[in-house]
Formats: sequence, structure tokens, C-alpha cells
Amino acid sequence: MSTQTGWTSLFRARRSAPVVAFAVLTGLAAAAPARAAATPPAHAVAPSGYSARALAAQAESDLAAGHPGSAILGFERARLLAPRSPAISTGLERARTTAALPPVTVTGWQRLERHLSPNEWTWIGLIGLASAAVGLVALAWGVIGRAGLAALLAAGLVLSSVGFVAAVDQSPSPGRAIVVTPDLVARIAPFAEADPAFSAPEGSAVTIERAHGDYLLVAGPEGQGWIPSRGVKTILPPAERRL
Amino acid sequence: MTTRSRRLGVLAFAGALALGSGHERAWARPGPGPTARSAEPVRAFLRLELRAGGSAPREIYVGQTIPVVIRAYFLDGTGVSLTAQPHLTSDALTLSDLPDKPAQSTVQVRGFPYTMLTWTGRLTAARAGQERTDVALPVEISYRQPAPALPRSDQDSSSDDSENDANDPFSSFLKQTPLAKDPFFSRMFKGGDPFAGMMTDLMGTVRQRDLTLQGPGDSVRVLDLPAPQPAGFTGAVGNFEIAAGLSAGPYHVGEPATLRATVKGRGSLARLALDGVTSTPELTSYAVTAAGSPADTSERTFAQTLVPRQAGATVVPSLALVYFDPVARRYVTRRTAPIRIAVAAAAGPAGSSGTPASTGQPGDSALAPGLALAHPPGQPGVPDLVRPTLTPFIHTRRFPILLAAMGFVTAALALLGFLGQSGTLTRRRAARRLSREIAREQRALCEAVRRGDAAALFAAGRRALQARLAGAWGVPPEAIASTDVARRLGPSGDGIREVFDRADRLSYAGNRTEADLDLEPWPERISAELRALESRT
Repeated sequence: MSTQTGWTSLFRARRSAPVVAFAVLTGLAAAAPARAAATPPAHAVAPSGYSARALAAQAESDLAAGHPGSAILGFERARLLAPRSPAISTGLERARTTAALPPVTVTGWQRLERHLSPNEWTWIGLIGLASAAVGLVALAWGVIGRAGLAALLAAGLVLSSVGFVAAVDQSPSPGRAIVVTPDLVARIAPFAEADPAFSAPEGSAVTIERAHGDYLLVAGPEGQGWIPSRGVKTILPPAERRL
Repeated sequence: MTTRSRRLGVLAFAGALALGSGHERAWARPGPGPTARSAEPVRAFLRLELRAGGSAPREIYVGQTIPVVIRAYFLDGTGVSLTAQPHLTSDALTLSDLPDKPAQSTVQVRGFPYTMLTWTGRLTAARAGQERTDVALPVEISYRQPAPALPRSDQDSSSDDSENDANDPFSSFLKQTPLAKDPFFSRMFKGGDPFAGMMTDLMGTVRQRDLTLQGPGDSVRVLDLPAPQPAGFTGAVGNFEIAAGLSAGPYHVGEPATLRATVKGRGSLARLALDGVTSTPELTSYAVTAAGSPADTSERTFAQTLVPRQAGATVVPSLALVYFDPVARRYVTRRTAPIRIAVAAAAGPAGSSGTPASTGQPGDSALAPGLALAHPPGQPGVPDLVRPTLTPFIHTRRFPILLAAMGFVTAALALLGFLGQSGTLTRRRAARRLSREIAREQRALCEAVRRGDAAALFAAGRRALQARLAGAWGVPPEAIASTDVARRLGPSGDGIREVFDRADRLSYAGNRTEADLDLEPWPERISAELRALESRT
């Protein structure tokens, strides 16, 4: 009897500790993408990393050299890292204007999404998920009651839903690509003599569906067609589409 | 005319319309060409001439381009309206570079005057196999059919009347009057119209027809290009020369320069493509664009933008042009000479943006130090964010792993908490501790039997039984005495009480009886009591 009483008292005395530890751990896990996106000091620029400033500078250089497609690609990549940069947004607009592309219609929700990067939205989603998990654990260990659990669960699920939906919306799919060569014609079959399907203007966005030899089947606003693989570049570099 | 055509390689000529004897059906039937023994000239015919080294080739390669001349001949006095361009009937051969308007001239063929329309273009083989170079030309022809030389029969007259009624303004002259239905007039002209064919008899009839002239061609064997095809080959077939030059300097880091390559020669220039210069640590290169006019069939110019990344001496690598020579029947690679340039430091404001040295992209990983990021005045610059990857975390493999780990840890901790709250864990821990204690005492029993130590045997037996009873009754083990057993268990606890009593006697009095000398059965008896207690609780 004394053993049982001792264990119970021990349990009651320390029952908050695992909940606190779990909350800390889930918080750290949720902050993983945020840590990855943290701003390093100027001297800590990795020799082989992706720099928002370098990508934007490269895009400006592309635009000056008369390659609006490459410029749009560079600005799109830079925007993944620094979505709130007005210079990148302006550069992207200028590149699209140079490429004579139609203006992009942005809804209110998309405007809200563009305030944060995909990783920042993912971080918010993970924080929401962690809140819900901590609430569940806290209830199990008797730290909070059912009302507390309901509040934490509701807040966590709403936060995680918004965060993950926005993160997915903001993230380009692995097959999302930009046309980087002028006068590109998509054809109905993967060879040069095939009949044209539609014209893919430089700088326009297409989605790569599959490859055949040196040709890629892409889907754009005007339909599907085969284009030479060197005519497009994916927004996410091919080497790291799936890490 | 005929002699010259043969020398150029006339594949076909006889899509023809004969100037018949006045009967319209003759127009729909292909008639003999001007080389046939015909008393009368043909109204129109079509020819296609291949110009490849002065003779008509019997074998060509896929992708090979051959100049062609298409000539259409129309007898003088024939009105012609072209409704489409000439085209080949085979889908394995394509015609290109045809002018919108053909050249027009007048020639004499076998003494008859003809209007000659000439198109020059290119024939390209697109698919291997045995093919024909038949050519077709849709036209709309109008001509005046002369009046018939012989009197018409009644049947013919009525037939012609019916056909001419629509066009002859005089044919209905009588019919439009009240006399048309008068029996007197009807009998006078035997039901016919005395004005029908009046204009035909005077001037002939103007005919208009939509036709497709057919120029039967020759058979040509299209060969596949030999395998293996070398790297960089894009399908160009012919004989070419390439030269390259860089736009005038001076060259600065970060400032674009244009590399222009000019390809001249004979062959499929339209299928020509250059890979261009690949990016190097010294140069960023961009996609090659064809700068020349596609209509220029003898020369094509390509342009590629290069941006120096580093100051100092830099070499622009040579360009390679790979094509198939159909005469030599082999692949040929032509290279330009490398271009050496001196690159000066960036001309932009020093340290304007502190541009980092890398974009991270394979192939264009470095950006010139000091390259200014141009942005409109008043706009804040781009933050200096660096990440090892562009792929959003949600698209990496680590994301589902993290979610799974969070879910697993949450479930485990929640289960642990629920079990702790309900006391299940406490009870299980107490049961395990009791089992371990009883097992320890049972080992002490066996040891005591081996030594013949009765006091130790019964003391261990009593401790084991006390532990089991304490677990069941919820009291401290040492507080359980023989009287408690008697009170709670009654006669069923006699065996337990005997163990307690013997233990007390041997422990406190120390006197051993005869029964104490036989210790062998006691471990089993005590174990049986323990099992009975366990099953009872």
C-alpha cells in the first residue's frame, strides 16, 4: 500500500513536467523551418546557398540582358525566400511587363498569403498542430480540464489549417516551370516536325507533366503540348525537388 | 523548253487540261502534256523540278533539304485565280519557303503561248521510306469555249439550253413574254426558244471551273540518318560553315556581352540549333536565340548573352556545330576558335548592395562581387536571406517525418497520462514488485532447505505470505500476525497460521521439534498457500 501511495504522489507531483517538456519539444520541432529561414549575419553567407539578394541581382542582370523569362524565374525564386521584399515584387512586375505577359489577378486571400514565405506559413501550421497536441497531452495528465482542451484544440486546428493551406498555396509544385526561351512553340508530339499546339510566350508559367527524350509535356493556360526541355526551367531547381 | 526541263530533272509535268473540241467533260480528264503528240495544246499543266547538283536525286536523307522549282503553265487566254499554294501529296515530304506570289512570265511551248507561274522553295524529307514527289495546285480557271462547228441535234440543243439558261441573257427573252404559252408560237418553234444560244453562236461561252492541277512526281527513297548520332546533333543536314564573334568591348563584370554565331551553307538551316556556351565560373551564359531571318535560306545568325563574373583574362569557349553531310554521308563537327577577352571590374557603385557570391544554381552559382542590384529609387533593397535550399519545408521528406514523430509522441504521452490518471500503472507496478519479493523469499526457502535451517525457512515463508496478504488486504506486511489470519481467513488460513507459528517459535524460542527436522515438504506447502492466496485475491 505504501508503494502505491508513493507512486501516486510522485505522479501527481511530477505530472506537469512531461507536459511542459512535451510543449517545449513540440515548439522546437515546429520552429524547425523557421530556424532554417532565419536571417544569418552578413558574414555567414554560405558559398553554395540560395541568397535572395543574389537571386534578385541575377534576375536584374537577366532583365538587362533581354531575357525576361530568366528574370521572372529568378524573381520567383527570390520571392520564395523574401516574399515581403518590394524590390522583388517590382522587379517581377517589370519582367512580366517586358515579356508582354498579361497582368496577374490577385485575390485578397492570395495577397494575405504573400506576406509570408511558405516556410513561415508551415511554421504557423506546425505551431497550431503542436498546440492541439499539447492540449491533448495536458488533458491526459490532468493538467487542464475539458474546457481547456477544447480551447487549445480549436485554436490549434484553425491555426494549422490556415498555415498548411497557405503554405501549399504559396509553394510552387516541383513541376512548376517558367518558359525561358523566346518564340517557344508547344507541339502536339515530342518531335520538331510535329504540328504546333500553342505558342508558349517567354516568361509564362507552365506545369511539367512528363518527359520524353529531350521533350517535356507541359500544361499551360492554352492546353497541353510538348516543348524542348531546354526551353523551360523549374522554379524549384531539379536537383532538390525532393529532399 | 522541253530540253531545258529534262536537263533540270523533270519529275512530272502532265497535270493537264486539254483544249477539247468544245465538250466540257474534256476539262475534268487529265490530258496529254506538251510532249505528247497532240494536235491541240493543253490548257494547263504543272511541273516540279528538284535542283540537287544538277540532277534529280533518287536518295535523300531525313532532314535533308533540296531546292525545288514548281512551274504551272496556262495557255494564253486562260484566266487563272490561285486558291492555294502548291503542295506535295506525300506527308513524308514538306514544301517550305515558297513565295506568297509566284513569278510570272510568258513562254512558248511547242509553238503555243503560255503564261508560266514559278515558285522556288525547299523540299525537306521528314520520314524515311519510299516516297513520291507528286505536287498539286488548286486553281480556279476561266476560259471562253468556242462556238460549236457543227449544227446541234435537237437533243443537244435542249441540253445546252438547259445549261445556258442561267447565263445567257437572251435565252429567256421569249419565255418572259406572254407569247411563250401561246400554242401558235409553240408549234412554230417546236417548243424551243429561238433566242437560245444567240450569244454563244456569236462569241462562245465563258466557262469557270475549280480544279486541282496534279503534277505526277518521281519516286524518291528517303533514308534514315545513320546511327549513332553524335552529341550536339540537332537534325541539321547539309554542308555548313560557322563563325563567331563577341560584341565590342570593353567588358565589365556583370555587364552582358553578346556572342554572335553565323552559320552559312546549303541545307536545312531551319533545323539548325546551337547549344551555345555553357556557364563557367568566369561566365554566366543564357539561352541561345536565333537572330537571323528565317526567310534567309543561306545564312542564319544565333545570339547568346554572356555575363562575365570575374575580372581578368577570360576565354569564351568555342562553339560547336554538328551536322550530317549527305554527300560525304557522315557527321561533321565544326568549331569556332575560342575568344580571349579582358574583363574589367564592375562599373557599378562600389559595395552598393554587398551582393553575396552565390545564387546556388548549378551552372550559374556565382555572381560577380560588387554587382549592383538595381531597383527603383526609394524602394528598399532585398533582404540578405540565405538558405541552403529553395524547396519549401512542406515539400521535403522531413515534413511528413516530423508530423509522424509529433503524432507518435503525442499519442504515447497521452496514453501514459490516461493510464496514470486511472491508477492502472500504479497497480501494475505494485503487482510486479510483490511478485519480485515473493520470488526472492521462495529462493530463500529453497536455500534454507538445502542448509537444513528451519528458522530461516519458516521466516522466509512467513515474509512471503505476509507480502501476499498485505497486497490483498492493503496493510503493511509486517503488521500481519497469526491472529489476523485466523480472524480474516478462518479455517482456510490454518496452513498459513502454522507457518507463522513455527516461524515465531523457532525465532523466539529456538527449540526444534521432530517435525522441524523434515523440511523438504515445506517449500511446496508454502508455495501452494501462496497460489491459493493469489487466486483468492
